[in-house]
Amino acid sequence: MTRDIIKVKNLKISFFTHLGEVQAVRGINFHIKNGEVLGIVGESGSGKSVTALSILKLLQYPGVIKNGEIVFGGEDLVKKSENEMNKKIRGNKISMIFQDPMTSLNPVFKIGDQITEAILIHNKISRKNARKKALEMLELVSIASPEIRVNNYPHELSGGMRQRVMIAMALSCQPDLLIADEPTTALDVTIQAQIILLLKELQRKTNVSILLITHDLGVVADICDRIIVMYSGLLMEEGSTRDIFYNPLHPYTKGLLKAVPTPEISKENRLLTIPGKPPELLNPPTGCPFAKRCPYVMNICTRQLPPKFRESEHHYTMCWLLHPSCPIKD
Amino acid sequence: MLNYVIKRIISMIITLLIIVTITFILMHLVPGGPFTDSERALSPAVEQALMEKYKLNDPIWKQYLEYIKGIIRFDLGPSYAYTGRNVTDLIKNGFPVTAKLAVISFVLILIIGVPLGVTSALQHNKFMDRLIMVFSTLGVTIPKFVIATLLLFLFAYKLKWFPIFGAESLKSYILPAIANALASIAYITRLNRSSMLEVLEQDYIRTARAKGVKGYKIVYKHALKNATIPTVTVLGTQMVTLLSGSFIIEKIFALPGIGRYFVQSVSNRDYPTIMGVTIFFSFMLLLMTLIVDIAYGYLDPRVRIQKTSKGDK
Repeated sequence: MTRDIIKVKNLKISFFTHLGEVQAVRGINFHIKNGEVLGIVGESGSGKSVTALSILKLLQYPGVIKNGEIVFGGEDLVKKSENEMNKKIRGNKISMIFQDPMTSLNPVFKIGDQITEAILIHNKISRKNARKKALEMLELVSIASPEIRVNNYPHELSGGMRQRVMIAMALSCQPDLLIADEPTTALDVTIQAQIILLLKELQRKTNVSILLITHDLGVVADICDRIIVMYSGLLMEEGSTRDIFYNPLHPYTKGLLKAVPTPEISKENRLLTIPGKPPELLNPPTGCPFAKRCPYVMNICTRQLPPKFRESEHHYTMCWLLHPSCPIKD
Repeated sequence: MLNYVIKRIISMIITLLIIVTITFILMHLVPGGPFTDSERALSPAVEQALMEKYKLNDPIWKQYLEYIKGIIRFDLGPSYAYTGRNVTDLIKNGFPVTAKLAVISFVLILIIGVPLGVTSALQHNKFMDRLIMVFSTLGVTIPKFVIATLLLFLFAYKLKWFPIFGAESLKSYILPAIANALASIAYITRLNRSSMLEVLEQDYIRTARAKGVKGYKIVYKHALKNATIPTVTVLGTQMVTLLSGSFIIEKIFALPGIGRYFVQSVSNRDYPTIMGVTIFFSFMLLLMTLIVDIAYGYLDPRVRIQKTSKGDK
């Protein structure tokens, strides 16, 4: 049994806006094992990116971690000071790559210097050695002629190359956990595949755990060991990739899987969508947030939030349909 | 880079030529001449002799060509009002004073405007930010001559901290420089504040935070260089404000700079002085813009590449 690298317990995140408290994440629990790739899937506004940012405590006002623990290396990150986070965690033990590589690198510094900076913050080595290390990292992420590329500015590189640079930077201090927040969303489809392949390869080489946030089910199927499905700030379903794809239990997960476009275009084969939209998180409904859009909605769904039902050892769902006395059976 | 500078110098020369031509035509279009002063009217014979002496009876195109020839030899002609003195000499004498005033004003802009803007952005919507914004609004709106008079009254006349007029020591430049620079300081403060606020929202700032870069280093390394780009762009135009402002300021503080000659030469209809000072100021401004543009390329690598590739064509 491998140990958990990170454990998130009852995490609640709110944004205090002038309209009131927006409850972006409403109490979620998950863990990532050593060397595991966990995918968080969900549509925009489901709270997945906010969850990722909160692990590194990068949330900015008005976003606040209201409750919960993020246990990493035996310590609760929520309680750590900015200074401790900068010195030990950010970019060192946990690093992060972002959605848009075009804007995520500082345009006025050479990419070599940007990678070197990360190395120098967390390692007591000379500038020269840090530079050598930066070159190695660029090589590791398969950038051709790295000795030329280190002296390039971000605008001289393509989007795919910039994301490779971001990955090189993120892995330069051998982190235990890499958070990838929609790393392929802003890229061309062919480049997307390359980046995912690269992440997979690097994961195998370095045994880094990855938290992959995406709304692209193709991406998760390709790389993730386990998947959690988020909806309106709640964890709807959690299970192995196999469980989620072959035995989805929650109607929302089922809807998501049906909404994947297929290459054959015909009248019968139109892209299915989930009708309706997610609830307002300013005043979240008392019952299941998916009740209004759910084809199997029951009376209890609108009145009471379902508990977590366990289907198998690692497969959990938050849905009343799983209740033993539920009349609807598949 | 060299190609770019050469190209810019050529375009500077063309611009200067256009400025010379327009000034020349405008001056000769205005009715009256340098010796048609109603207060101390000259006898027609004397006027005729003077016109002859300064070759003002020649056809306009000939005068124009003569003048251009002079410029090439750095000879801006004799002054009509300051008899026996050359315009080149007038500029040589006045320039150190004007330059000192401009440089001190410029330094004030940079060392006050930029940090104030950054402070304001970091304290966004807090008391300090509001305070700085109130003062910068005042600074932008109050005309220079009002500020100059106020400063003179308060610090030179009442408190006697600074001399009232003259340019004996560096001390006598401080009040004029503040009066001259205040509007620009206020403007740069506002500009720096807004660009800093914008930059701090950028994705690459989040990347830097995710790397573990400390708070102050994010501001002074990652954000400031990006936020200064718009500031540097307007520094060139702020130079215009400083130089044209120096005309009034030099008059109020009785500084013996070029600005003073310029104001007088216009009322004296002193053609060569007007022309000379105009050309000199235009040249200085074009030079400043060139320097600013080169600095801009240094700050923003995206511009640098564009320039060299353009220059290589």
